[in-house]
This record gives sequence, C-alpha cells and structure tokens, in this order.
Amino acid sequence: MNRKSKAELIIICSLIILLTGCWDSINIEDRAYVIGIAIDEYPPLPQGLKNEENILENEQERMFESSTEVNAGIPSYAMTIQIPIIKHASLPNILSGGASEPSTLKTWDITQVGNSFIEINRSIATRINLIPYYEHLQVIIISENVARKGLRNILDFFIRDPEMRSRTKLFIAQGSAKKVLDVIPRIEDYASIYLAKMPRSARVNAEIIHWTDLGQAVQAIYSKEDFHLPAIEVTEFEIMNKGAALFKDDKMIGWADGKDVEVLKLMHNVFLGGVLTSDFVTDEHDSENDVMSLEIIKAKTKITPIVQGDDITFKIDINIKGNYSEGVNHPLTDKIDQEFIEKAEKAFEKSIKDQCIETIEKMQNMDMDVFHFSTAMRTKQPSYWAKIKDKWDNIFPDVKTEVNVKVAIKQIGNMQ
Amino acid sequence: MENDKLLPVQMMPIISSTMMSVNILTIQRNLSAIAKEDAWISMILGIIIGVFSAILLYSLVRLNPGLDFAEIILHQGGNWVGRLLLIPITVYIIIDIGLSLKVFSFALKIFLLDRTPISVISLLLIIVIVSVVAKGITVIASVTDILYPFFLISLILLIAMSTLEFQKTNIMPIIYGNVPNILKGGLPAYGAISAFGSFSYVMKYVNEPKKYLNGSVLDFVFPQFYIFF
Amino acid sequence: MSLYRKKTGNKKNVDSIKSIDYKIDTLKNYMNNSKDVRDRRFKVGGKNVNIAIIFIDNLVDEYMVQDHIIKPIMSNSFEWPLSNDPDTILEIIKDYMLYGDVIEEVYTNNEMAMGILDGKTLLFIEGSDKGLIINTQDLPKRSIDEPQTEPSVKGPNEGFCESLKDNLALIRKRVKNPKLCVDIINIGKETNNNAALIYIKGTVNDKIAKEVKKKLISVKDYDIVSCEQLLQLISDRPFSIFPLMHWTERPDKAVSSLLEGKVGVIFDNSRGMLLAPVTLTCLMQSPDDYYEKWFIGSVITAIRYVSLLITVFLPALYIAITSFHPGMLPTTLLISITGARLGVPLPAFFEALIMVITLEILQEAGIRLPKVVGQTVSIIGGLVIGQASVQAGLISPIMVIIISLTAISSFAIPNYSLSLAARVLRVAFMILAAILGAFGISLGILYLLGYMCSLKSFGIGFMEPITPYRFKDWKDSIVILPPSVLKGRPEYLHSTSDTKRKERSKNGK
Repeated sequence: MNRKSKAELIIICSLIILLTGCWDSINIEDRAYVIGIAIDEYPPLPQGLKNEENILENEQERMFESSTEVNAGIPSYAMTIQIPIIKHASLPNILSGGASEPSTLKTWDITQVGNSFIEINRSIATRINLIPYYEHLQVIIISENVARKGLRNILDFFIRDPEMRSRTKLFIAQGSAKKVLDVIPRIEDYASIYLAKMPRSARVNAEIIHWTDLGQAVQAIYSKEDFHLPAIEVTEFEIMNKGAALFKDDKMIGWADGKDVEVLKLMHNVFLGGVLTSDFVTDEHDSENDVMSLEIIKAKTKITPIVQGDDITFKIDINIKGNYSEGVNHPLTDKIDQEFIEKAEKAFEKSIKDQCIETIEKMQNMDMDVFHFSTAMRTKQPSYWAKIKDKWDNIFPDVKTEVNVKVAIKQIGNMQ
Repeated sequence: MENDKLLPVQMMPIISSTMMSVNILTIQRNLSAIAKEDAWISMILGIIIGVFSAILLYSLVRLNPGLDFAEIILHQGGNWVGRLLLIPITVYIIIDIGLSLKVFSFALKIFLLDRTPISVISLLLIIVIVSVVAKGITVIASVTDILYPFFLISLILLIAMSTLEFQKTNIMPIIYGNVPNILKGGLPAYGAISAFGSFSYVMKYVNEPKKYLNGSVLDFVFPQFYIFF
Repeated sequence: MSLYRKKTGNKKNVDSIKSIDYKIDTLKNYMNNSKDVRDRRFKVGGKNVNIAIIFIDNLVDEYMVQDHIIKPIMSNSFEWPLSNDPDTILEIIKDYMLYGDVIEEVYTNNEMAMGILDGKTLLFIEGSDKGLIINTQDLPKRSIDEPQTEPSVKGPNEGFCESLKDNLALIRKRVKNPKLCVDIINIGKETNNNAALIYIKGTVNDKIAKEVKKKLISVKDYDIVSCEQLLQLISDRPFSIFPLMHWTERPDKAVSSLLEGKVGVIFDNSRGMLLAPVTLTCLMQSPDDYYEKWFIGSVITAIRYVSLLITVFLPALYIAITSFHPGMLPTTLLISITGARLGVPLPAFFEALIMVITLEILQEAGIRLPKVVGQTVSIIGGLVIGQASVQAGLISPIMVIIISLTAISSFAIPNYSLSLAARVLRVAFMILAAILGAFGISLGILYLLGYMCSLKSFGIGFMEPITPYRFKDWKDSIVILPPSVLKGRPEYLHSTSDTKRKERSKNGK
C-alpha cells in the first residue's frame, strides 16, 4: 500500500510540470463578441479615386478607406462584423453608471475586404484590441449580388470552423447587406439581435420563414436540393421580413413574395400559423371589396406522386383546421349558421387552391423544385426515381399537379 | 462489505459505459457513409450478432469460474498457444484504447479548449484515469456507478431533443436496393458493441452474474435510430 | 492535631511502616505534595485506632465527605466488635457505617492515587494495607445546553456536554434497552481520560464493534485532548479530507444511529460523540428531516445536496465559463457580465481568489467575535466590504453575488467537518478551473470521485448507499419515505440480527 500511494503522489506531483501555462484562458472582457456578419461584394472603385483632403464622400469610399488589402488580387468579398460596445449597452445594472441615450452608438461595425473569409477574419484582428469570438454569432446577412454568385464558397468557412454555431440564421438582403447592420432599432440595442429574434413571430404570420439556419442551408446544398432563405428589406430604423429568396444549387435564382411563401410553408408542412383570406360569400351582402379571414391552427399536407407510364401527377392533399376570425363588412346582426359555415369553408378552399396553383406554376416557370417533389418521388416511387433522376430538371416544369384542399372551421368568435 | 467483489447490479453500468464510450462520436459518420439511409437497420443487425456472441462469451466464462478472459485463454490453450493467442488480442485492445483516447481528446480540444496542445490533454486524462483505476476494481465500479445516471440522463435528453429533427422522409425507402450495404454496415456496428467483452474481465469478481446484459444492449439501440446522413 | 499525636504517640506496638503518618506522607509524596490534596485524621470511637481520609478538595463534595464518611464513623459507637484487628474494623466500617454508594477496596499506591484523582475519598486505617475508595464526586461541569452547531427547529435541543456521565445518561434515557452495552477504556498515559464505547448488542455488526474497540485500545498511550484527535487516530486514513467518523452533538441523532447498528464513542471532557461507521449520506442528513413530514424532508435533503454542489463548484464554474467558454452563456447574460466586469483590474481567477480568502478571514474572525459586538460587525462588514469594493472598482458585482451564494450554501451543510472539507475543495477546484477550464473541473471531479469511493470507514465504504446501488437503502438516505415504509436496518451495515422486522425500528433522529 505504501508503494502504491507513493507512486500516486509522484504522478500527481508531476502534473505540475505540465501546467506551465493556461493556454486558453482569456478574460471575458477581453473578447470582442461578434453578433452579426454582413457579406457584400466588393464595390467597384468609384471613378477618380480618393480626394486629396481625405474627405469621406460616399459610403463606398468610406468602406474602401477603412479596409486593408489582404491579398494581391482584387478582393471579391467585403465582410462587416458587428461588435457591441459594452460601455454604452443599456444594462440593468445601476452600478455601472450612466443611462445611455438612444442616440449613442452602441455597436461598432468593421468592414474588411478580401478573398477568403478566414483572411478577412484574421485581418480584423489588426484593428481591434479585443480578440474576436464567434460563438455568439446570431445572424449572417448576405447581399443579393453575392447570393446570385453562389453560396457554397462563403458558407464553407462558417461551417468548418468549430467556433461557429450551425444555428446561426441566414438572411438575404436586397441591395447592400451592410445597411442592415446600420439599422438602429428602437426597442433593441443591437441590430443583429433584433433581426435574430424576428422569425419568432412565424406563428402569427405565415409569410415569415421561421427556421432556416446555417446547418440546414449547408445540408440542402450538399444534398443538391433547392432551398429558400428569408429575405429582408431595410429602412433606417426597421428591418422588414419580405418573403423568401429561392436558391437552386446554391445560387440564388429569384424572389418569392409573401403569398408564395405561405404556399411554400404549406407544402413543407411547417405552417405554424397565419391568416388566409378569401372573398366573401353571402349573396345578400355581396360587395366586391369584402374579405373574410381564416386563422389557421393546424395544416397538414401530403404529397403523393402518381405515375402512369411516363405521365407524372402529384396529388397534394391539404388539411386545414382553422378559426373563422373576421369578416369585414359582415353585419354583426346576421346569424352565422351551419350553412354559412359550409359556404365559408368552400370559399376558403377555393381561394387556397387558387393560390397554390398559382405559386406552383410560378415555380415551374422558374424551374425551381422548392416543394421538394423530388424527395416525394424518391421516397414513394424509388424505382421510377432511379430512372428519371438525372432528367428531373427537365421534367419538373411539365409535371401536373392536383391540389385538394379541405378546410374545417372549428370556431367562430367566442363560441362554437 | 464484500472486498474485491462486485455486486451483480454493478456490472450494468460498467458494461453499458464501455459499450457507448467513444463510439458515439465516430460510429455515425462511419455507418452512414457505408449504408446511407438504412444505417439503423445495420445497427439492429449488429446488435443481433452482438447478443449471440455475448451468449457465447457468457457460457465460456461460466465454464471457467473465477478466471477472467486472459486467464481463460491461457488455461484452455496451454501455455504456449495461449500466449500466442493473447498477443494479438492485447495489441488490439491497446490500439482500440489508444484510438479512443485520441478521438476523445480531439473532440474535447475542438469543442472546449482550443489552444491547449493535445498532448497535454491526453496526458492529463491518462494520469487521472490511471490514478483512479489503480485503486482497485471496487473503486472503478463505484465511480462508474455514480456517473452512470448522469450519462443516462444526457443520453435521454439527446434523444428527446433530436426527435425534433426526425423526419420519416429521411429513412425511406426501406431497404430499397441497399441490402449489401446494410450487411457491410453491420460489421462496424458489431465492432462497437463488442466492447462488452470487457465484462469477461469483470465477471471474475462477481458472485452471481445475472442477465444484466440485455438491459445494456437495449440501452444502446435507442440512439442509433436517429442516424441520418 | 499535634496534641492528638502526642497523646497517642505512646502506641509502641504499631509498626512504623503501617502508621498513619507514614501512609499519608507516602501518598502525598506520590502526589508530589500538591497543596490541594487534603487529609483528615480521626479516631474510631472508643478504640483509639487512627483513621485518615485523603481527598482532593476541589473535586469532592464536602457535604458528602462530612456527612457520609466522617459523621457516621464518629457518631457510631454501638456496633464495635471486641477485636482490635484493623482489617476487621475496616470491614465493619464498610459494612455498617459508610453511606457512600460505590466503595472499592484498593491496595496499591497507584490505585489509591487514581481514586483520589477521580474525586473520590480514600479511607485507610492504621495497621492495614487495605484502603477504601468512596464515591464523593462533585466535578465542575456545565449544564445541558443547546447544541451549538446542530440546532433544530422542532426537535429537542439537548446537546452533549463534556461530562461522560451526563452524556451516557442522555443516551440511556432514550434507549431503555438492556442490550445497550457500555465499555470504558482508559486512554492517555498522562491524562488517564476515559473513553466510552457504546453499542446495542445484537443489532450491531460485531466486526465493526471489535474493530473500534481494538483501535481504541491501540491508542491507549496517546495523550489527546479532544475527540477530533481521537477520530484521526483511530481512522483508517488519517490524511483524508473527509471525516471518517460522524461527530455529533445531538443525542437523538446518536440514538438513531445506534439503533441502525452503529457504534458510538464518547470521550470524557470533550464535547460531542463520535459515531462509526459513517457514509456521505449520513453526513448530509439533518435531524429536521424526521421532525417534519417525509415529503418535505426529501425535498429539503435534495436542496442540501444542491447546496453542497454549489459551495464546492460555483466559483470554479464562474471562472471556467467566463474565461474559457463564454459561448455557454446566453448572449444577454454575457453582455451583462461583461458590462459588470468592465473596470475590474484583475482576471477572474484572482478576483475569485481574493474574495474567497476574504470570506475565510471573515468566517474565522466571526468565531471569535464577542457576542455583544458580533451582530453589528458582521452585518456592516458584509455589506460595507461588498458594496465598497464594488464601487471602488476592485471586484465586479457578479463576484459578490457568487461569493455570498457560496458562503450561504456552505452553512446549509449539516455537518461542520464536511463544510470545512468543502471549503478546501472549493479552492482546489478554482485552481483547476483557472488552468484548464471545464475540462479541468471534470478531471477534478473524476479524481475526487475516485478518492471518495476508495475511502473506507471501518470497513464500510464512504459512498455506501449510493454506489453499489442498494436500492433498499435509498429510502432513508437519499430520499425520505414515510415512517411506515421504513422497516429494517440499512443493508450496508450487515447487522447481525434480521434485517427485516415487522414493527418500526426507527424513532426520530
């Protein structure tokens, strides 16, 4: 026993030799927490170079001025990171002293240009005295031009680095992505957090895509599926969620507006909630501008491919349960009886079916299989799929679809 | 208290833990690369093979009471043949353990400590574990006993959280044209389970071994249902 | 006195060795002529035989000496036999006249001295070698007081005090069982203190009782002052951080442990009682669990375990998360903490270290504060030191919260020795966390578990009901079930009688 415990003691003491340094210990206030990234394409140089007096004339010039060349060639990407300035953050802490006025700048946006993202990353370190730390990254905003060129190269860095989380949300911005980070939101401190929390209201509005993050996007790229990312538009104080951007094989093809997004979500079975409207039904109060709305509680879709020879039809069954929530211009004194409910259901069904068909045609014209018909084919008719796998892009625009919608109204107002 | 002997109920955590160990990290990648969507079927196949060989090993150990695996080989095969047989087994075990250590420290390094050199992590792990193991088998069993519920709970949480991502479309079509791959995938799955062979070492110390094997095998099946490409 | 001597000095037939003076002088020399050793010589009625008593005046009850020893001898002249033999006279005195309740006969100087030192009176007669030791003890002692470290809300507040007799009485009156055995062992070459070994024969595991007794006998020659030293001497592993015997001040807790089959040791002139063997779950149980409803007891026991974890790991976790893994925090919390730490000069580890050291100093000082000043100083000290250092920018407010939470949790641990051990471990884990982050903490936990599992308290493992999964034992250690369910004794003790009995075998702790 003595020898054993002596040997133990020696082993433990030798631990001390190893601990010649704590390699990883960085104080919490020595890190720069990057909460948002915006990726733009490198702006073409304005004609006539810079002024002699070094006056910053327009925004593009300012970006060029503040960046450093990291590569000999022409840089292709400009990345902007957003770092919160803790001094000015509105903390619940009284002791830190001083309330912050709304006009103080609470974030610092740094732009760097370069060819590879890791280079840009490291060159940011030449300008900050804190160590950049990416684990709190909330959003990545990509501008439209960059998205059209292809996402694969961009996202590669973000997926590979172990510091990045694959739950980071991706957004596509119309125009310049940097403008998004410049937004000073009225109720939040930082634009990135404001943006990151926005998709939470997907339960209320069906036009918001609630869950597309980095991991999913990369997964879709690698499995060669078509996917979509939420699109945003900016003003000085607000960011608005504006539908989706459609991607085929990691390049952006087009926009889908709000209504299309609703149908998209229906097809993917991720319709969390929202409102669909249709024209009014009753004969007596038939006026053209009246709408009635259905608040959807649950929606379930089933896509089945039916193959007859070379003829492919997709049967889409949509099952919706909802509340009849509002009827504009419908007099309150009128009774809502069973007949009316049935008529309303039929009206809703028709309007939803029209919407679906419209969207499907639109997608077919663009040759975008965002509804993942290919997956349905692959799982339900694998033998046929093996045959037409390579020709799917050509076949897709000619595919016929049959949409059946069933609406069940569960509640009218307060009582059933 | 029984000195140097384990209660039968203590075998369960040891066996389950050795089975799960590092294979959680590596097996998903390997299996899915081979069998694509039907990795879960290969898993079940591996488990069936595993149960058979477990029964074989069990009867082997019962025939030679009081000896552990190495001693059985020596005993059965005579001195020379026994030692010859032991050598590749020992080498295999050492390599297995070494690989597990490397994978584990690497995973730790990536997720927890970025800049610490990997030799420090591995060495520290070895030192601490050796000092715990050197205290005897009862201590090993006790430590495993204590850590086992936490291990189970994290596993269950993991399973619960990943049900969110469970989509049937990802595992269909079942077995379409994939049979040879499934069989090929059975082998690494079996390799993962075969770590239960460690129980043959432990049985030496147990009074009445009972059927705790099944419990541990079942435990292993669940996470494997959620392997997707 | 000298008059008497002169008068009886003409007794020439008395041997000079056996004369009273010689005896008294020998004994007093044996006691090194201490001035508090007194003697009283008197004569037996009508016979002119010299008798003397020797006692130590501060240890005896003077009333008893006068009334029960001197008075009956002097006033009693009826029963004298005709013989002059000193031994017979002594017999007669012992049988007919002395009122003392315990009388022993002693022959050697050593025994006589021991008797006198015990507070008893020695009586001897001229001409006889025999001496009588009569019980007249009146040792100064404290009355039974509240237990200071283990108060209870609803339970009895009698605590063990320093006198061995009183402590034994407190136990005896709760267990009126003829099977309760008491063994007394003399410990200490110079101090000659007594230690009592208590167990319930038939319930206790004989091996444990024998082991404890063997160990006690083996330390007979050590001069120790407190029972904590005794604990360290008879434990298996003197270097262990955790206490390997349970020290308690409450008789009800002691009694319930005895009924489970444990062995108790009481050391004279030292407060409290030691119980062996001990496990972690015993250390974390408080008597209050049994004076409330069982369900509430279970919940509060769970809270106690949580507070044990908090007091050991919280500063280490704070250091690990803020220095190594800030990714684990939600973003808003992160910004708050960073904002709180903005002006602080020291890295997190040193900040925590300074606060822990300050905490230890405060706790140590608090023990010695006189009661009058104590309250004010502690409140002001806590508030002022915390508040002022935050405003001076020395430490961050988060650190103050963490340290106060840690300190309060350490007081929630029922056993004082365990909370001291937790304090030491806290610093060790802080160092580990500062070097290697969360990985360091995990390594530390692994090693600590290995260490705890290898501790054995008199043959029973320290982590007993937890590790070999003895599910039957869990219903009293980790959770507490209603008393109707608690039957039988804990399995891990392997007691000799049946482990299952129909009627309840426990009373409240």
